[in-house]
Amino acid sequence: MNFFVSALSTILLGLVVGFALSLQKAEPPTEFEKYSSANMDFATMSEVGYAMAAFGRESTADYFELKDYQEYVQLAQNDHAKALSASDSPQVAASEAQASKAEAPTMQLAQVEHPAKPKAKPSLKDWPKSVIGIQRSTELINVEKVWQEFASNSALSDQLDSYTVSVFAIYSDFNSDYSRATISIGYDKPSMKGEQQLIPKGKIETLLKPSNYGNNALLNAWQDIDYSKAVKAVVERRDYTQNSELTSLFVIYQ
Amino acid sequence: MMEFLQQRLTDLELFGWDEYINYWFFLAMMALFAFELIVMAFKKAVTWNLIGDSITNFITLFAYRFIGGLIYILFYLTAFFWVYENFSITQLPLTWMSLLGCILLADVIYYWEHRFMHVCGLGWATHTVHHSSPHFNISVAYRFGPLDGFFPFFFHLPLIMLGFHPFMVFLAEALVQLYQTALHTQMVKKLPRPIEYIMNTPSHHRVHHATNSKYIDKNYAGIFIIWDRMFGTFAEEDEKVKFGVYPRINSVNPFTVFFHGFTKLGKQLWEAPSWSYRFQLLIRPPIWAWEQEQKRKREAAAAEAKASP
Ligand SMILES: [Zn+2]
Ligand SMILES: [Zn+2]
Repeated sequence: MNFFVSALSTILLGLVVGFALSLQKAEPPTEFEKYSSANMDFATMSEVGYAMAAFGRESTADYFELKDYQEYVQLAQNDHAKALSASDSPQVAASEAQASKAEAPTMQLAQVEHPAKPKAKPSLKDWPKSVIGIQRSTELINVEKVWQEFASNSALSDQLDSYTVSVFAIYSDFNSDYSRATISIGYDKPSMKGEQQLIPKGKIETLLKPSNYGNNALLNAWQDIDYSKAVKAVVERRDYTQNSELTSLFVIYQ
Repeated sequence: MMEFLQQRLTDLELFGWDEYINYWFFLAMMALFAFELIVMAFKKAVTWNLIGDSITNFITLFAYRFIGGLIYILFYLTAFFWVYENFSITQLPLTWMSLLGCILLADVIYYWEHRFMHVCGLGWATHTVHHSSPHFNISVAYRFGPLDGFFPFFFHLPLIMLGFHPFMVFLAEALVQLYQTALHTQMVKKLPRPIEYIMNTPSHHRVHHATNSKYIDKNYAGIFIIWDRMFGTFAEEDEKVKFGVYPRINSVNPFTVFFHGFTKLGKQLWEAPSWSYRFQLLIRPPIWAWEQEQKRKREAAAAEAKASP
């Protein structure tokens, strides 16, 4: 009898601790989440893991030149995104936007050199009224072309004087089935010469907090939009520093 | 502090901590063992039996590592990941906080697994190796039986189903095991009372390794002794401990030591009177088999006495 009471209390303790831990608000994934063991062979995994414990994350990334590994993961993710772009739902826009990123030359500014935890997290407060960039009206499925055009626009990118820059992509004027939209992509540098793209005003809601997201997360976030409300715009924000890239996604309702 | 506890880890990092801690802890324990030997040499307590016993301990460690390594790669790792991905009720975030919770639960689980090893014939066949040394020093901690790495799988599986990442469970398991390792010493007498009350200590674990009748099947704990206090298996060290196991083995031959649990079980199974008896030998406590043998001996003696008046 005593035995069963003790066994039962053990199970109860397990469930309580497990439940308590599941309520945790853990920090969002960092760059290092991408160094998952999933694609590594056992020997590398053991070596890299050991070094990470012994010398810390940053020196490990340097020593093992993990940026190559990270680029490889990024490329694999882009391939995955392309495979998904068969349908022409509004979600595709997000995936294509992501896909264009790797090919875009200006984005190389942001290519990670020393993965580190991003320090300051951008918030809604530091939103500009407008950005400097380009505006096109396009099928959402072809949004990649706009990203490429923006990226290869050297008139704009030549004016950049720092690795720290934010890029805003504003999707607005959607058609009836959300297959077309006007997309404006621009830098948050008011002093730059170029076309000014206004960010619409309205009720802003956050879909994704600033962090590193894979394509699936970005895709899924478009599904969190409340399409029953009048959607004025969807804003994808990318914050680059020399060491990090943060993506966030917002929706602006009427 | 809270922020630190909720900092995210990667599975790779957990794996790395496991390797890192294991490696340095082993070196530290070897230094402690060397220190123990020096102290014993001063006391003129170093005998050929002690040296032979210690060497055998490390040989069983390598044998166990070899078998355990195979079990680990072929079965443990794959099954844990498979269950984690398909049958876990949630997937807890990889944080230091989760690790703390995991260690706490792994410690209760260690208690039950250890208790199981003592009260089930099959478990005892492998765990008896750890208890069979008449000595008690750090090297005894590394004395393992052939299947010591097999049973923990079933006991830790619920943690995976609860949503702990396999690497986190391995790390927690290792930490409990390492804490236990450091307890195998007679250098430390008793620690301050609050520590002795909550934590498992060398004193408590000496009791676990004793053959004194009041100490038998006591103090199964890993890190916290509170489980023994809660579940009624606690005993305080208050008389001199005699180390070893019943029946004693008088050998430092690594082969004999490593397999003696299974050779004995095999012999009992071979000589068993019935199939139900065989089954009970596997699941009943070892003391049951001993009682049955005594009963049969007494009956045989009585029958003989009757036959020749
Ligand atoms: Zn034991
Ligand atoms: Zn022990």
